[in-house]
Amino acid sequence: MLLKQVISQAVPCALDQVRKMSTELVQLFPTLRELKRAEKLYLIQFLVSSLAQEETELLQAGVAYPVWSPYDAFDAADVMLQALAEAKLGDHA
Amino acid sequence: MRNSERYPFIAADSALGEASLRPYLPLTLTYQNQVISTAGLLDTGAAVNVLPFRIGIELGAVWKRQTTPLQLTGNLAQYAARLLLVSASVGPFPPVRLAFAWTEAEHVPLLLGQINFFLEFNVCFYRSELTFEITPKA
Repeated sequence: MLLKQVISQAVPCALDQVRKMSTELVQLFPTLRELKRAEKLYLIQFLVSSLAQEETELLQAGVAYPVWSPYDAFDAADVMLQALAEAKLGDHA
Repeated sequence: MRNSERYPFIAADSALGEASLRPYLPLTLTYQNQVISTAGLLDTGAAVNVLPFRIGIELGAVWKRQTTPLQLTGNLAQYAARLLLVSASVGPFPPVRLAFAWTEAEHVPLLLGQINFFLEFNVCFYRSELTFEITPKA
């Protein structure tokens, strides 16, 4: 049941992309349909782990990824809040 | 007027595709009658908004006239920054006043951070759908 739910959510999005793909994928479908249940489940498992592997490859070793976020610039944030409050007072003056 | 707008994630590097998709928000900045259209990176981890030096110059701001220094952190700590108040328009929504840390750094994206972009707008990310939604504060 859970598998059906996952597929029903995933398939509509995937279909849009599949339509844009090559005919090679479409030619695979008859073969895939012939697979036994256990083989189909194994195929799903293979594809899921393959996708997970691709996700980890989004970050490459040895490449610099600069992080510009001033994530703890609280003093600057405090000064800016005060300036905004003063500007707001000026609007109402 | 609609109370929310959806925007797509944008590829920062077309060669990298999925790996470079970022939530860049198109917006218009106005400073003393000078108007420019640009895009800001929605950065929930940034304590403050950050304005790259070049955009401040394009807006007609004069570095020496901005007298409030700000100390940034991380990669930006090495660059001087000064306070700049700018009017910003997003989509069909009324303009808001944004406070920026105008940095001397050139190769930084325009960052929209907690102070004060996220005080003015609520944002919902739908990363799996490659969109995000902006709503002005109530």
